[in-house]
Amino acid sequence: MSDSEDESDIQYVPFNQREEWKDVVPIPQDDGPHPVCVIAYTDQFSDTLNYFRAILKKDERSPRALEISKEVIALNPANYTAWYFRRNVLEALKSDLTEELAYVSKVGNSNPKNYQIWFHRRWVVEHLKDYSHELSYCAKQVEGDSKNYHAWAHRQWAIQMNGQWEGELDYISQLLTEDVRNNSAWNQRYFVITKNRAIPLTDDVIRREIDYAFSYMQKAPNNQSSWTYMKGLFLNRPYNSIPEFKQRIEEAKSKYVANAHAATLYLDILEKEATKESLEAADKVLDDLIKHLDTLHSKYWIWKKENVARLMQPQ
Amino acid sequence: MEATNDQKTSEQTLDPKTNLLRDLHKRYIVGLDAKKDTFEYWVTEHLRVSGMYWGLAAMDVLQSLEEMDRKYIIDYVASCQTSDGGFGGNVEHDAHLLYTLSAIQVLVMLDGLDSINVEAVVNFVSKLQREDGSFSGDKWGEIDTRFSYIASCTLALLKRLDTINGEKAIEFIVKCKNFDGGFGAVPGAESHAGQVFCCVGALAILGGLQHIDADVLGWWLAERQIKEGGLNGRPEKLPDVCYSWWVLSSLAIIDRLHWIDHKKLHSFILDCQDDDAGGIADRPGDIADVYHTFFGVAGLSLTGFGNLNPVDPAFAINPKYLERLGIDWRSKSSPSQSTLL
Repeated sequence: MSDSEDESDIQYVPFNQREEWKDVVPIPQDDGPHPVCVIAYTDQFSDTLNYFRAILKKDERSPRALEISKEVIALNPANYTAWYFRRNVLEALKSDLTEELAYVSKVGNSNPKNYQIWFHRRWVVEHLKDYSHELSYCAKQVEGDSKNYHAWAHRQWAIQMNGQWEGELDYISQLLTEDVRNNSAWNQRYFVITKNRAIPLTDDVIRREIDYAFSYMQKAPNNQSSWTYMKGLFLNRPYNSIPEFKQRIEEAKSKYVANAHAATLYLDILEKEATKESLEAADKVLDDLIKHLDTLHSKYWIWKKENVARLMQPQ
Repeated sequence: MEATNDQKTSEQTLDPKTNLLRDLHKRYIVGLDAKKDTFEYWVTEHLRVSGMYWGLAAMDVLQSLEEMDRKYIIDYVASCQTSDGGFGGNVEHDAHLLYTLSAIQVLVMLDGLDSINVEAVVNFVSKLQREDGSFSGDKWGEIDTRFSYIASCTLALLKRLDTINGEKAIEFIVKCKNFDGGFGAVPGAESHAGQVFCCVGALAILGGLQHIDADVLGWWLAERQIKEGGLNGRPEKLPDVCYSWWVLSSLAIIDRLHWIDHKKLHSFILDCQDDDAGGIADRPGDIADVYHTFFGVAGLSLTGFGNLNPVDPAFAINPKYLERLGIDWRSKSSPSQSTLL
């Protein structure tokens, strides 16, 4: 059931008992006969939807239309038609969208993963041209669920609209300190360093990011995010552009003996180097992965081993 | 809905951990429309059309499509077409891409396309493409690679892919490719298995698979499998049966299905069955729903579980319908492989 904090103080009254709805003829859902056993909340559902249907049919864009859309949403926040209709009414009534932002924030707090609410919020914010509340709103949702996909996507959108890059790297560090395994935070870091045009991706920045990833990796070496992030730093540049990187990974691999991620990254460096020595070393790493480091994915590693063998053959 | 002792079938003596309880799941699906007195019925009212698709597609996988009421379903779905050509999630709901695809998939399965205004659907869908190649879900403008997939799939089934800019559509999807090899909802958004399916499926349908490195993506997808056998959607998240579809279908499209441990995955899916009321849940012990029931059996089918009808990984319906329509996405493009080979 939707858990709307602001609706709980409003007692449901059947629509046929409401004076201001006396002129409306409800349109029932054409579903067949009513079931024998009717439960309380289905009464409220069907009653509200029946009256909503009547208002929809008339396309009535009035204050009571706005009210009923709120009631439908309270019963089922995923009812996208209610949200569409609400936007039409808001436009027709030229409603105060500041109030609407407060409303969508309340409903959003109770339903943090609802697509319709996030989109409605975006619509309101775009019309208000006021992005100043977005980062704190997203941060609040992330506090409740650190990987809320909608919150992160909305955050990226707001930052790009507002150019509010400052403080973002610190915010990410705060989250990673709380939970180093937060893949969404790692993704956000990548977003910031690649999308913020004010800070080009120089060798120094890459080095700083490698150090950063290492420091968090050490807190949870078996979590793949920091390793994936490091690999991602070399998406558009060769590993040897940072000469000391290979050795750092080799040392990490020796230190974290049972760690598949360290081995995987080291393997990638060796494969891309593609010399006789590096491929022979790659072959040994693959044996480790197949035999004990990552047996779940042995089919993948065996296939990789065949690839490396093919590369080692004389041309 | 508990069976009495008299009604106990041989299936109820089977161990749900190693057996697919077909009859029970079929009874569950067929019985869904009657449960009008449940909260779940009402709170899913707005997506009823998709619910029909999941139910029908699941029955097809379970080799029992003919048990569904063809005429009733076609009539009902047709009544959900709106004046702007798309389909709402239920009667009197506004049109949205989500329900438009479900409606078309249902009508293709039941051979009922002549019950609707196809031209109006094509018009509705094609108009949703933006200049940058992306698609919105409706006239309000939410952008998401889910909609790139849905639009491509819908138009392909209606043989009208010519009404959109395929090159631009592909371009936008490629922008959503991330540093870890996965795909997100919009450029920059975190890689997520559901979005990966949408991007990979769309690229397959549009003929843009060459933009995918099968080895890099295949590995990201293979890493979704956790030790216990289930699949998650992102690193460090819990497994969920629906990822059996999003991950497996993506792997199937790029020809890397063998990188998943099938036996362990089967154990996980079977463990998610509700051996009392039927249906499959997202996780062992949770309440079943028709969405997870479909994706559970579809995942089993994709990985060779016996006595199930096949499911096309790009279109999520039985390949025989694609044959009937003359659709062959595999001939349009193939994924690339790392330069290592």
